[in-house]
Amino acid sequence: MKIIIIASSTGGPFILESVLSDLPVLNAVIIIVQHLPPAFTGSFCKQISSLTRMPVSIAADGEKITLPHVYTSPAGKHLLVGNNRIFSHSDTEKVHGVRPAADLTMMSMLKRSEDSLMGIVLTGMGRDGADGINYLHSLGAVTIAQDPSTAPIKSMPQAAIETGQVDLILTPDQIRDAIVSF
Amino acid sequence: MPGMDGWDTIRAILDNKLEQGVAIIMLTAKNVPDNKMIGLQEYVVDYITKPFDNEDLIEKTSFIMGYVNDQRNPGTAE
Repeated sequence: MKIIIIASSTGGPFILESVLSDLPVLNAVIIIVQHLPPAFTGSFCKQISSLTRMPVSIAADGEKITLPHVYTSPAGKHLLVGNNRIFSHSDTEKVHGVRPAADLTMMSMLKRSEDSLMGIVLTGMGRDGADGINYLHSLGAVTIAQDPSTAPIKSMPQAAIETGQVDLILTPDQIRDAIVSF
Repeated sequence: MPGMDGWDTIRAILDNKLEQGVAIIMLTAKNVPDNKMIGLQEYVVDYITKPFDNEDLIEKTSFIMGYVNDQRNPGTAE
Protein backbone atom coordinates (compact mmCIF):
# COMPACT_ATOMS: atom_id res chain seq x y z
CA MET A 1 0.00 0.00 0.00
CA LYS A 2 1.26 3.47 -0.87
CA ILE A 3 0.82 5.80 2.09
CA ILE A 4 1.49 9.53 1.88
CA ILE A 5 1.49 11.66 5.02
CA ILE A 6 1.30 15.45 4.70
CA ALA A 7 2.13 17.85 7.54
CA SER A 8 0.48 21.24 7.05
CA SER A 9 -0.06 24.29 9.23
CA THR A 10 -0.69 28.03 8.83
CA GLY A 11 -1.21 28.80 5.15
CA GLY A 12 -1.62 25.11 4.39
CA PRO A 13 -5.29 25.06 3.36
CA PHE A 14 -4.53 27.51 0.56
CA ILE A 15 -1.32 25.70 -0.49
CA LEU A 16 -3.18 22.39 -0.59
CA GLU A 17 -5.38 23.88 -3.30
CA SER A 18 -2.31 23.57 -5.55
CA VAL A 19 -0.89 20.36 -4.10
CA LEU A 20 -4.14 18.43 -4.54
CA SER A 21 -5.58 20.34 -7.49
CA ASP A 22 -7.58 18.02 -9.76
CA LEU A 23 -5.89 15.07 -8.16
CA PRO A 24 -6.87 11.90 -10.03
CA VAL A 25 -7.91 8.77 -8.19
CA LEU A 26 -4.61 7.29 -7.08
CA ASN A 27 -3.88 3.81 -5.85
CA ALA A 28 -2.74 5.35 -2.59
CA VAL A 29 -3.76 6.61 0.81
CA ILE A 30 -3.13 10.26 1.63
CA ILE A 31 -3.23 11.35 5.25
CA ILE A 32 -3.28 15.12 5.85
CA VAL A 33 -2.43 16.39 9.31
CA GLN A 34 -3.57 20.02 9.27
CA HIS A 35 -3.25 22.41 12.22
CA LEU A 36 -6.60 24.20 12.26
CA PRO A 37 -9.20 25.54 14.68
CA PRO A 38 -11.31 22.52 15.65
CA ALA A 39 -14.48 24.22 14.39
CA PHE A 40 -13.12 24.22 10.84
CA THR A 41 -12.14 20.55 10.68
CA GLY A 42 -15.29 19.63 8.76
CA SER A 43 -14.97 22.57 6.39
CA PHE A 44 -11.37 21.65 5.68
CA CYS A 45 -12.39 18.08 4.86
CA LYS A 46 -15.08 19.43 2.55
CA GLN A 47 -12.53 21.68 0.85
CA ILE A 48 -10.20 18.74 0.22
CA SER A 49 -13.14 16.75 -1.15
CA SER A 50 -13.69 19.44 -3.76
CA LEU A 51 -10.15 18.99 -5.08
CA THR A 52 -10.15 15.30 -5.94
CA ARG A 53 -12.40 12.46 -6.99
CA MET A 54 -10.78 10.29 -4.34
CA PRO A 55 -12.97 9.57 -1.30
CA VAL A 56 -12.19 12.04 1.48
CA SER A 57 -13.12 11.83 5.16
CA ILE A 58 -11.93 12.71 8.63
CA ALA A 59 -10.01 9.72 10.01
CA ALA A 60 -12.18 8.13 12.69
CA ASP A 61 -10.93 6.48 15.85
CA GLY A 62 -10.64 2.74 15.19
CA GLU A 63 -11.23 3.10 11.44
CA LYS A 64 -9.44 0.69 9.12
CA ILE A 65 -7.63 2.35 6.22
CA THR A 66 -9.18 1.72 2.84
CA LEU A 67 -7.67 2.30 -0.58
CA PRO A 68 -7.88 4.73 -2.33
CA HIS A 69 -8.71 7.43 0.17
CA VAL A 70 -7.71 10.83 1.50
CA TYR A 71 -7.99 11.15 5.27
CA THR A 72 -7.86 14.41 7.18
CA SER A 73 -6.92 14.72 10.82
CA PRO A 74 -9.53 14.94 13.59
CA ALA A 75 -10.24 18.08 15.57
CA GLY A 76 -7.92 18.61 18.50
CA LYS A 77 -6.62 15.04 18.70
CA HIS A 78 -3.44 13.35 17.62
CA LEU A 79 -3.87 10.83 14.82
CA LEU A 80 -1.94 7.57 15.02
CA VAL A 81 -1.82 4.68 12.57
CA GLY A 82 -1.52 1.20 14.10
CA ASN A 83 0.33 -1.37 12.02
CA ASN A 84 0.02 1.10 9.09
CA ARG A 85 -3.65 0.14 8.80
CA ILE A 86 -5.83 1.26 11.75
CA PHE A 87 -6.38 4.84 12.88
CA SER A 88 -6.55 5.80 16.51
CA HIS A 89 -7.02 9.15 18.20
CA SER A 90 -4.99 10.34 21.16
CA ASP A 91 -5.56 13.11 23.69
CA THR A 92 -1.96 13.20 24.88
CA GLU A 93 -0.14 16.50 25.34
CA LYS A 94 0.43 18.86 22.46
CA VAL A 95 3.73 18.32 20.64
CA HIS A 96 5.59 21.47 19.60
CA GLY A 97 2.47 23.39 20.58
CA VAL A 98 0.04 21.54 18.33
CA ARG A 99 -2.51 18.75 18.45
CA PRO A 100 -2.84 17.03 16.05
CA ALA A 101 0.93 16.81 15.52
CA ALA A 102 2.13 15.33 12.24
CA ASP A 103 5.26 14.11 14.02
CA LEU A 104 3.19 11.60 15.98
CA THR A 105 1.32 10.39 12.92
CA MET A 106 4.52 9.92 10.94
CA MET A 107 6.33 8.27 13.85
CA SER A 108 3.50 5.77 14.32
CA MET A 109 4.30 4.25 10.94
CA LEU A 110 6.16 0.95 10.63
CA LYS A 111 8.49 -0.43 7.99
CA ARG A 112 6.49 -3.04 6.12
CA SER A 113 7.74 -4.65 2.93
CA GLU A 114 4.32 -4.33 1.31
CA ASP A 115 4.12 -0.58 1.98
CA SER A 116 5.72 2.40 0.26
CA LEU A 117 5.81 5.58 2.30
CA MET A 118 6.08 9.26 1.45
CA GLY A 119 6.31 12.14 3.93
CA ILE A 120 5.67 15.78 3.01
CA VAL A 121 6.07 18.94 5.09
CA LEU A 122 4.28 22.08 3.93
CA THR A 123 4.11 25.64 5.24
CA GLY A 124 3.86 26.39 8.93
CA MET A 125 5.31 27.86 12.07
CA GLY A 126 7.41 25.74 14.37
CA ARG A 127 8.93 22.38 13.60
CA ASP A 128 6.10 19.87 13.43
CA GLY A 129 6.92 17.24 10.82
CA ALA A 130 10.70 17.51 11.10
CA ASP A 131 11.15 14.62 13.51
CA GLY A 132 8.55 12.67 11.58
CA ILE A 133 10.38 13.21 8.29
CA ASN A 134 13.63 12.14 9.91
CA TYR A 135 11.95 8.95 11.12
CA LEU A 136 10.15 8.21 7.85
CA HIS A 137 13.41 8.61 5.94
CA SER A 138 14.97 5.99 8.21
CA LEU A 139 12.17 3.64 7.08
CA GLY A 140 13.05 4.25 3.45
CA ALA A 141 10.28 6.73 2.74
CA VAL A 142 10.49 9.40 0.06
CA THR A 143 10.67 12.68 1.96
CA ILE A 144 9.66 16.07 0.59
CA ALA A 145 9.67 19.61 1.96
CA GLN A 146 7.84 22.52 0.38
CA ASP A 147 10.34 24.97 -1.08
CA PRO A 148 10.47 27.54 1.75
CA SER A 149 10.44 30.40 -0.77
CA THR A 150 6.90 29.33 -1.72
CA ALA A 151 5.66 28.93 1.86
CA PRO A 152 3.70 31.67 3.68
CA ILE A 153 5.63 30.56 6.77
CA LYS A 154 8.94 28.86 6.17
CA SER A 155 9.71 27.40 9.62
CA MET A 156 8.23 23.93 9.23
CA PRO A 157 9.70 23.05 5.83
CA GLN A 158 12.97 24.70 6.86
CA ALA A 159 13.14 22.57 10.02
CA ALA A 160 12.49 19.45 7.95
CA ILE A 161 15.24 20.40 5.50
CA GLU A 162 17.66 21.01 8.35
CA THR A 163 17.34 17.38 9.45
CA GLY A 164 19.31 16.50 6.32
CA GLN A 165 16.78 13.76 5.62
CA VAL A 166 14.67 15.49 2.96
CA ASP A 167 15.01 13.95 -0.49
CA LEU A 168 13.26 16.66 -2.47
CA ILE A 169 12.55 20.38 -2.00
CA LEU A 170 9.66 21.22 -4.28
CA THR A 171 7.10 23.86 -5.16
CA PRO A 172 3.43 23.02 -4.49
CA ASP A 173 2.86 22.13 -8.16
CA GLN A 174 5.94 19.90 -8.14
CA ILE A 175 4.72 18.21 -4.95
CA ARG A 176 1.47 17.42 -6.75
CA ASP A 177 3.45 15.83 -9.58
CA ALA A 178 5.50 13.81 -7.08
CA ILE A 179 2.33 12.51 -5.42
CA VAL A 180 0.78 11.54 -8.75
CA SER A 181 3.90 9.70 -9.89
CA PHE A 182 4.59 8.03 -6.50
CA MET B 1 -4.91 49.35 17.52
CA PRO B 2 -4.10 51.55 20.51
CA GLY B 3 -3.04 49.49 23.49
CA MET B 4 -3.26 46.14 21.80
CA ASP B 5 -1.19 44.45 19.14
CA GLY B 6 -2.17 41.49 17.02
CA TRP B 7 -0.91 38.99 19.57
CA ASP B 8 -2.92 40.64 22.33
CA THR B 9 -5.96 40.45 20.10
CA ILE B 10 -5.53 36.75 19.40
CA ARG B 11 -4.96 36.05 23.09
CA ALA B 12 -8.08 38.04 23.98
CA ILE B 13 -10.14 36.07 21.46
CA LEU B 14 -8.91 32.77 22.93
CA ASP B 15 -9.07 33.88 26.59
CA ASN B 16 -12.68 34.94 26.11
CA LYS B 17 -13.47 31.72 24.22
CA LEU B 18 -14.59 33.67 21.18
CA GLU B 19 -12.64 31.55 18.72
CA GLN B 20 -15.65 29.48 17.65
CA GLY B 21 -16.33 30.40 14.03
CA VAL B 22 -13.44 32.88 13.93
CA ALA B 23 -10.73 32.45 11.31
CA ILE B 24 -7.59 34.49 11.91
CA ILE B 25 -5.40 35.70 9.07
CA MET B 26 -2.29 37.55 10.20
CA LEU B 27 -1.33 40.58 8.15
CA THR B 28 2.12 41.54 9.32
CA ALA B 29 5.29 43.38 8.41
CA LYS B 30 7.39 40.48 9.67
CA ASN B 31 8.68 38.06 7.08
CA VAL B 32 9.61 35.64 9.82
CA PRO B 33 6.86 35.15 12.38
CA ASP B 34 7.57 35.72 16.02
CA ASN B 35 8.08 32.72 18.25
CA LYS B 36 5.00 34.02 20.05
CA MET B 37 3.11 32.22 17.33
CA ILE B 38 4.13 28.80 18.67
CA GLY B 39 0.99 27.29 20.11
CA LEU B 40 -1.23 29.66 18.15
CA GLN B 41 -0.61 28.18 14.72
CA GLU B 42 -3.72 26.06 15.17
CA TYR B 43 -5.77 29.26 15.23
CA VAL B 44 -3.95 31.34 12.60
CA VAL B 45 -5.22 29.97 9.32
CA ASP B 46 -3.05 32.09 7.04
CA TYR B 47 -0.23 34.61 7.18
CA ILE B 48 0.29 37.50 4.76
CA THR B 49 3.28 39.81 4.87
CA LYS B 50 3.36 43.52 4.09
CA PRO B 51 3.58 45.01 1.57
CA PHE B 52 0.70 42.85 0.50
CA ASP B 53 -0.94 42.38 -2.83
CA ASN B 54 -4.61 43.41 -2.77
CA GLU B 55 -5.67 40.51 -4.94
CA ASP B 56 -3.78 38.05 -2.74
CA LEU B 57 -5.47 39.46 0.36
CA ILE B 58 -8.93 39.29 -1.23
CA GLU B 59 -8.33 35.80 -2.61
CA LYS B 60 -7.17 34.38 0.71
CA THR B 61 -9.83 36.18 2.72
CA SER B 62 -12.55 34.91 0.38
CA PHE B 63 -11.12 31.43 0.62
CA ILE B 64 -11.13 31.44 4.41
CA MET B 65 -14.60 33.03 4.50
CA GLY B 66 -15.75 29.83 2.83
CA TYR B 67 -14.74 27.99 6.02
CA VAL B 68 -16.52 30.53 8.22
CA ASN B 69 -19.72 30.46 6.19
CA ASP B 70 -19.66 26.70 6.02
CA GLN B 71 -19.21 26.42 9.76
CA ARG B 72 -22.06 28.83 10.40
CA ASN B 73 -24.36 27.26 7.82
CA PRO B 74 -23.42 23.55 7.74
CA GLY B 75 -24.85 21.65 4.84
CA THR B 76 -25.44 24.68 2.64
CA ALA B 77 -21.92 25.44 1.45
CA GLU B 78 -19.62 23.34 -0.66
